[in-house]
Amino acid sequence: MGEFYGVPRESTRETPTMLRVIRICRKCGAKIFSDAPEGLCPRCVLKTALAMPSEASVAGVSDPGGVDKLSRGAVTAGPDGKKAARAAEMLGELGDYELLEEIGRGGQGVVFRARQKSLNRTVAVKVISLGQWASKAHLKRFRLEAEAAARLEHPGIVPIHEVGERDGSCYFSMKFVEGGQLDEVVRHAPMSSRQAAELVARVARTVHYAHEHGILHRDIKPGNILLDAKGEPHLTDFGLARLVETESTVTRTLEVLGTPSYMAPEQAVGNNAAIGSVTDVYGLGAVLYQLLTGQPPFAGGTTYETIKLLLDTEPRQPRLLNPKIDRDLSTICLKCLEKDPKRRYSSALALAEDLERWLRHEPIRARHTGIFARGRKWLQRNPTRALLAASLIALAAAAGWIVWKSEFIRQPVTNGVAVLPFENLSPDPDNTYFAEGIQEEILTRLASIADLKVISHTSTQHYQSKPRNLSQIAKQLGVANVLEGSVQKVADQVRVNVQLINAQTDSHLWAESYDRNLTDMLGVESEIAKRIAESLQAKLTGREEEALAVKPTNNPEAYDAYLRGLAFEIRSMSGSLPSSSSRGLEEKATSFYERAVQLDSNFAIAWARLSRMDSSIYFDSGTDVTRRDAAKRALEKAQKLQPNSPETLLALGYYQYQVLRDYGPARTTFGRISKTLPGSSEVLMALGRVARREGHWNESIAYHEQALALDPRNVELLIGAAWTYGPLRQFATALKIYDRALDIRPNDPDVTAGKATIYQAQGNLPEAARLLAEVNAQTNADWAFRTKITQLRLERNYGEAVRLLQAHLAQFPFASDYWRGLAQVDLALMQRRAGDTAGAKATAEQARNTLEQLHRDQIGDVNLAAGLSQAYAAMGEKESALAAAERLIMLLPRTKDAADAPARQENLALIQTIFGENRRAITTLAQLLQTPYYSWLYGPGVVTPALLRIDPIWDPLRANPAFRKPAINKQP
Amino acid sequence: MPVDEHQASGDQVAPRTQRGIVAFTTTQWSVVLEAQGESPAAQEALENLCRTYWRPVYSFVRREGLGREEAEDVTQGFFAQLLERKRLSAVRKEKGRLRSFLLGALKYFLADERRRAMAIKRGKGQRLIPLERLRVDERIEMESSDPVTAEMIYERRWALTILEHVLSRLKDEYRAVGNAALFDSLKQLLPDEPGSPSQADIAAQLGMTENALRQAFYRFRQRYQSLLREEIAHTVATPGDIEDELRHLIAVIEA
Repeated sequence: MGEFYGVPRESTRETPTMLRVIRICRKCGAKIFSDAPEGLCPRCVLKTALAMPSEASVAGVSDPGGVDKLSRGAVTAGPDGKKAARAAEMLGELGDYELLEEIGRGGQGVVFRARQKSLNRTVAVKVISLGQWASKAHLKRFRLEAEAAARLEHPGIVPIHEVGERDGSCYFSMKFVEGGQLDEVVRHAPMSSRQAAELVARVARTVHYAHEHGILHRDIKPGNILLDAKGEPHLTDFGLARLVETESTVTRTLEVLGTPSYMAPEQAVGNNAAIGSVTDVYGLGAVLYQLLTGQPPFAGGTTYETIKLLLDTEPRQPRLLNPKIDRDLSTICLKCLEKDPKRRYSSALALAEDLERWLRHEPIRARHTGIFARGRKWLQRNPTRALLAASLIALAAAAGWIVWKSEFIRQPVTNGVAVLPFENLSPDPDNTYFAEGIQEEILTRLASIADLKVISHTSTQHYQSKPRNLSQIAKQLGVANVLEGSVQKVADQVRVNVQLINAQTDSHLWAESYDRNLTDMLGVESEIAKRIAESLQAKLTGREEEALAVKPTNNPEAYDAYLRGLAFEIRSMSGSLPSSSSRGLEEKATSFYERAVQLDSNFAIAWARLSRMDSSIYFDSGTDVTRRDAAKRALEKAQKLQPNSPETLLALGYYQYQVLRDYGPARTTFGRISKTLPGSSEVLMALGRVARREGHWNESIAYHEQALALDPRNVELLIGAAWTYGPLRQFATALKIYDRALDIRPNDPDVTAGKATIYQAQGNLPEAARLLAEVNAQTNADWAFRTKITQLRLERNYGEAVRLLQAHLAQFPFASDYWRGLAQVDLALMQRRAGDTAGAKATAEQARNTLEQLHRDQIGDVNLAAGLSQAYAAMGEKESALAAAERLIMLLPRTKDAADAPARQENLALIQTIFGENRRAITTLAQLLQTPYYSWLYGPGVVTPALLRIDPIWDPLRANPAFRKPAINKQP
Repeated sequence: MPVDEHQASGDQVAPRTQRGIVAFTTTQWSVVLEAQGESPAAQEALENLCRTYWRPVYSFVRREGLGREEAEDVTQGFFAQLLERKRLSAVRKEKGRLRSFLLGALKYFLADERRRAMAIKRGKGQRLIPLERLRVDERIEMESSDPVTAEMIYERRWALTILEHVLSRLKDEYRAVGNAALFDSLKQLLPDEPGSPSQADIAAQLGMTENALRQAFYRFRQRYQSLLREEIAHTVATPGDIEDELRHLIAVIEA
């Protein structure tokens, strides 16, 4: 073949490899080494292999070798030859199509130029690569979308011929548009403003046509606009964005759609209800922006950053990027890009018309708005925005792996109904429980219907039963419909009247009266719920129907007891109660549930509720073993009877959360329930509470915000949210939330106190004092009282504090030694501060004796242990105090309960300070400043530098230079 | 004697997969990156990749001045620790191409090893990458290295590994349908060297018409291109990188 010679080793230094040279290539002159594949010159191989075919003869159209039709083996210029030649050109085959050339690639898939065999024409085939997401549901949805789009006929829309599917890939064939994607074309030959306006106007009219036929594009961007040889635009890929939308991940949507630079805010957030024709208007505006300035309106380094930009910032003024852009045109463009959909052009047609006006040099309709007016207000008012902010923060924390949790971005439910408090028309006032119970039962059943949005009782409880301003109430609650009802129970007869009212039109959708024997009452709530669902045309799934049909019990007495228990449970949660009273109510509720299951041991729901009650009481007490076992037993009963009902799962979730303190499984359980009760804000709140315990504060925010989006007037929720923002030291937000709560429950002492703690944390004592002015010894509300005492301490008004504490102790019969002992500790410490050492010692001794005894029986009780450590401290017993405080820390390590554990460190720091262990205390405090947690000293607030500065507790530390370090000293 | 046209026209190339075209998300390096090495599929993909591309690594190590056996050990050790959990954090940060990733990781590894200056451990048995028997010509002592050159060697070896693979797969495809002879002939046409048999010669040899041969050769080249892109695709993270990587490969070969 060629000459052959070896090369001496020295000369190998010149070459990149040290291998032997086989020979020199005769074509290119390069040395061919022994590592060359197949002994061929790699340079030449590559060159040949990658060269485009030049010879026309390859096509087989004309055969210089002569036509030989007779020879069997010959390839001819006839149809056989053509066929073989075409086979040579193919990249592959897909059904009726021969794929010839790849002409484009995007996030979704690849576009080929292809030949349709059956019709022998050139088409474009787009193959969607779903890869691992090619589920049946996706493929089905794809077909539906593509088929819907295929029905559109408009010169500006690339017609779809056929839709197909194969091996998990979807494809559709469409008209082949000679030309290219708009962004490619513009890259080589930028457009003038007029051309851009003309083009976008034309596309806008096309889009309007589609809208009139009920089809949204949802993915308008330069890549989806093809230009033909004449420069006419053709829109493609209609509705495909829908393809990868699921109830779950927005991630997939983003990954597959590629860059979100042209995506509207409501799409990025996943607010599907807000997506409409104005979403496409946004897309058109983004295209116009790109054409005018050469850039998309938002482009960050990564998908995540781009989305942050598009939600948070305004697009740069086009004229800053290109001063030649006309002001009016810039206005039109920016109007399309408004964050608030309502501020954009109301339709693509409106946009087209304004553009056309501009082209005709007529005045445009869009107004020149100030730069700052735009965007910000909408962003702040929109709850889903806050939601995404929270989840974005959580993302940043989650080590760069971008996953949008489906729980964060939900589709708000469209049908909404609020059940107003039922009126009790019974002569016997004792029967109010009945009315409350029935209302609650109806609510529970409604909440299980996925298609309905149901407002919790907490939100509705302060409304009257038959208010006059229905539409206003409905608007406040965010629902369209309201259920009013009344209940009348006389001995064994019950009459229930209900009416479903559309609040906006104030029209009755349906009204019904039920006259039943007590024994027959049991199916009534289900019937009512079903009828409501029907009237609101909420679709009931088979399973939901089944679930509704199940009668909770057949024993009317048991049911009666259950309803009573329910009423007490509700009341125990209505807020602003001292812990002793709410505990009393909880115990009453428990005893009624117990009675219910006594009467009917198959009453699953009652078992579930019983378990929940026990879990809750156990949670507060911390060590009551009997409670814990009772909760478990009740749960097991419920699980045996109805393992998968939402009530049982809720009981399980709370058991895991409050008894086992096993937050991971609790989270999973609540997560499960949230899918079956999508309208339930309660479950979301539970998820929020668990998240806090796990130290996932931002996730907790997201859950709370989500719950609030569903149930905006729920004070419990608002307080929960405030209790999350507070520890995170997002004080401004926390204040706003407290204000919202006060709006609903004005002058609520606990809520007011909560607000006060925020001011205290900010060091704003006068404001806090103002809020706490009404609190005195008679105040029964726990939080309010404690906050007042703290306020007095911060003001160094020990005398008054002592007085209040003593009066409080005298005034209220404490339910148990437990609370008395803890109150005494507070008093003792305050006396000590006031300088009354003798009094302090006496009180402390009393406290210590009480608590020690209790502690012996309830070693795991956190309150007792903390109180005890403080009692020792008040008595000056350093060793015992420190030991007790340290023991406390060991009871539950931080990883178990992230919200609570730091408070024990705080307690230790307090003890250490009292006894002069300053350095340790300072170290602990410095760390606490960086941690979100539930403070015992400042709860529900949290320690801040301001508090460290003003609180007399930390006076002994001030001399220490470490205390003045910036970490401790910064504002506020 | 004219051979059966069907066979001669080379229609009987092993069926090509549609997957190569449509499911980019399953190419190996992208699988590794997407799962960040955490899933079994990703582990497998990474192992496959290591098995394929060990030679450039070995060449680099040799060029760095290590003897044959030592270099083998080091190469083993490098892949072993790459496949174990602890190094996959490096994968997590990686967004680019396997080629550059491996080179970077290898340099760090060598620096570490030098610092420790003790015996290199092999993988724990199970993780051994079976190094094929080194060819005789590869067992040549290397002179002391110049870092640039070692990298050049790595790059060149990488490129050649890819080309080898492509040809080898192509050969398998043709063999699978009994067209081994056709493959051997067509491959001779690739470098297009003066003095090598012409298309007419080969056509006559195989009993095909020249036209048929031309078309067969056309398909051969098309398939080569396809496989080449596929091979490259397995080592990059996004489809957009393929062309760039191909250009790089060409540049390396041309040098």
